[in-house]
Amino acid sequence: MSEIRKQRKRPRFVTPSGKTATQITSEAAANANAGTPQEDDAATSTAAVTHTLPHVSGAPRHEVPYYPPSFYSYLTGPRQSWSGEQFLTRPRDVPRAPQTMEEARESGKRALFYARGFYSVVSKSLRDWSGVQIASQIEIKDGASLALVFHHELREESGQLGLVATSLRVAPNVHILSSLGFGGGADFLPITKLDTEVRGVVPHFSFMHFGIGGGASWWRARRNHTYGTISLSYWLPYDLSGENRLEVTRVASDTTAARLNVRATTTMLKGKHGKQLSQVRVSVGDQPQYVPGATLESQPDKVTVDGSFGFRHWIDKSYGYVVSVEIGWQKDTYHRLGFDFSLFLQI
Amino acid sequence: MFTFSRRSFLKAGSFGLTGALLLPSRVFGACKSPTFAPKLSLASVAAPSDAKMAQRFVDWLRGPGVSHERAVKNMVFNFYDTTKKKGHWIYPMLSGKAILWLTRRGNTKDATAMASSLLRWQQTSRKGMLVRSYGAFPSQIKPVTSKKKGPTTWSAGERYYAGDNLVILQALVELYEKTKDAEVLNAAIGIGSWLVEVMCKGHKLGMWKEDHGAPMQFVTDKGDFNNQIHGTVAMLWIGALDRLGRVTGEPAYCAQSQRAYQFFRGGQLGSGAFLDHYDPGFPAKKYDSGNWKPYQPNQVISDNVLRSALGACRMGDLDAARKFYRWLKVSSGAVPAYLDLKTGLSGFPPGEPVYYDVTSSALHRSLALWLGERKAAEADLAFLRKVQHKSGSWYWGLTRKTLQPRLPQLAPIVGFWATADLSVL
Repeated sequence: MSEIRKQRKRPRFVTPSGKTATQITSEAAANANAGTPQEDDAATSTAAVTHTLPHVSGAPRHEVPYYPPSFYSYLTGPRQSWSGEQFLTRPRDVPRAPQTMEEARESGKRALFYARGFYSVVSKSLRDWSGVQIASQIEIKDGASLALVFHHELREESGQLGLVATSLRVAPNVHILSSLGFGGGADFLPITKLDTEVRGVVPHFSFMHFGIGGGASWWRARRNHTYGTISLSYWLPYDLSGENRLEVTRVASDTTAARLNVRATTTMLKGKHGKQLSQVRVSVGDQPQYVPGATLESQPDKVTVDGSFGFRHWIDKSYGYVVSVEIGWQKDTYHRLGFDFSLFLQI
Repeated sequence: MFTFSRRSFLKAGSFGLTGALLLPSRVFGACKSPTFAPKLSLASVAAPSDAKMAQRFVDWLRGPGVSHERAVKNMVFNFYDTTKKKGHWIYPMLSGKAILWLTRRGNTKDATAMASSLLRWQQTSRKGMLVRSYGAFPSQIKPVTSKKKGPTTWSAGERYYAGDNLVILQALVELYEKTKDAEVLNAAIGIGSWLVEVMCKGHKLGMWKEDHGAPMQFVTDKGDFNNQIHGTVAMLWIGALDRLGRVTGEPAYCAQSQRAYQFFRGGQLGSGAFLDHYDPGFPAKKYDSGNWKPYQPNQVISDNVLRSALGACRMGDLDAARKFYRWLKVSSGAVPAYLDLKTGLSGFPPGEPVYYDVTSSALHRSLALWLGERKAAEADLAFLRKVQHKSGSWYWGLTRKTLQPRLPQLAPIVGFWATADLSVL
């Protein structure tokens, strides 16, 4: 029991917003870090004691709070899976002061810009897919980010999509990510898209983030999608991180009955932010058969598998490039091989 | 299953997004974690013998440096008189500094024991004018003279200084971060809310013409304010409010910390020197940069201005700190106690014996570490090693000619700064 607690009863002071210490410590305990050191123990304890002269009896060790590395989701896989979370998967919470210079550098970054080009060779009589994309993510103030995307793609027809996404911190370790998109009405891009996701740290498991969300999109030929998603991101030793995501979509149109599509995606990253990250992504599910210009009733659901392998390399601490190779396959429909190249700039 | 009308969904979505973007930052915002750090660490400039130098100080502190009387057990004396062999008045701020120092050394057990004594002296009455010091710590605890025999009784001094309480706040917040003791956080909240809701609200209490954003210097137990705003200690430790804000998730603390620092910045001259305090006058007038004043005409106190410079470092303002560093003239690690505002050299009047302020050497060493000035930091440390008293502590003032004590008073504050860089965030 605290020595201080044994004293005569002390008043409960309150913060300007009316919280007491008991409430704050209870909330903190509920969201507590596991306390696993992120960096090597010896290096951390050395860093911690260098601001005081060491004890004669030995250097004291200081606790290091756990700080998960960044996790950048890639815009790969079926285009319909875009949402705000793909740009803003990394909540910018820094639970405590950065413990390494890398983290300090990272936490100071305020904007990210992408210029991307992609090309997929598609089988059968389908036209190859190609396009460009310009994307940016800007931190407008602490806890609030904004992303803007412009996507242009050419298949059997030309399509465009503009997307605005936001991330807002609503509580310690909890963010709301939202996006709103408007398209030109091509077959393969929505006309309107809206979604929201809540992302946060899993209580008592600071190395995992959860994501729960949903949204809707409207397409040509009076088709609409309504979907829900659930995801789990995690950070493991040896610079490994990953995400598992499940998406259930209700696909409907005015002229045919609705049906459900399910898709599961796993992404794994390995490497250090600021140096090089390798990524593997696999997505398996069922989707309406890709038949350009067809209505939904003539597009039965088909098993679809997409995968990509890529890496992101920082040439300098502020810029670099991303390359990836994609494969895609839809039963009885197509298979494709794609190449993706991006340049990025962080400031 | 449900269906959505696209129109209604879009409306709700766009209103939601717009509203969320326009909401004031304090609804969503939390305080920023600082990313500033000194360019050099103390360990990188320390000599192997410095560990023993620190240990000698620890041993002294545990003995004569603190009181062993029950009511003020483990609380730190401001001075220890080497001729009378006794401590002079308890300075709660120094107990706060000791808690900070112990916590950073990993000695949370001793820090908690010290906090246990200190917290007894937090002002917890809201009767009458005491409400104006509710949550604060007095800046002095003095023995009550009595003809009766028996153990000494102690009483709190009259004044509650904002700067002193910021030091205690920093200590309590760091101790809480290590121990998660809710009572420690409770005490810290008491200080933080007192600063934000009383001491920074001079404009609402008839003390200022406008909201200056930084705390008034002190309030008495009778509710009388000194409406001046002193940089110095408060400028160095104002970041404690920010840290409390991060720990409690209370943006009001962080916002006040930032506002106060912006006000303090107004006290730096083009030469790099920091002025001592801002005097709004009484009745107060509107802000005028000409109301920033030195300690005396053309004279400032060295440890005070060094604290201001370190405060700039802690707020990431290294340009301001560098300007000050160039203004101040230090010779072989020794800093005169008073400085000439124009030149940065000794500010003692002609004919008056010059003495060095030893704490200033340690503060200057910290400043040199922030700015990456290795040679200067090593020179400061060498001076501190040279002048350590055989007991393990340090005299606060040494004459320039002979390096003899100005007065036979050992001061724990020197030891805390000499053996640790307390300015680190």
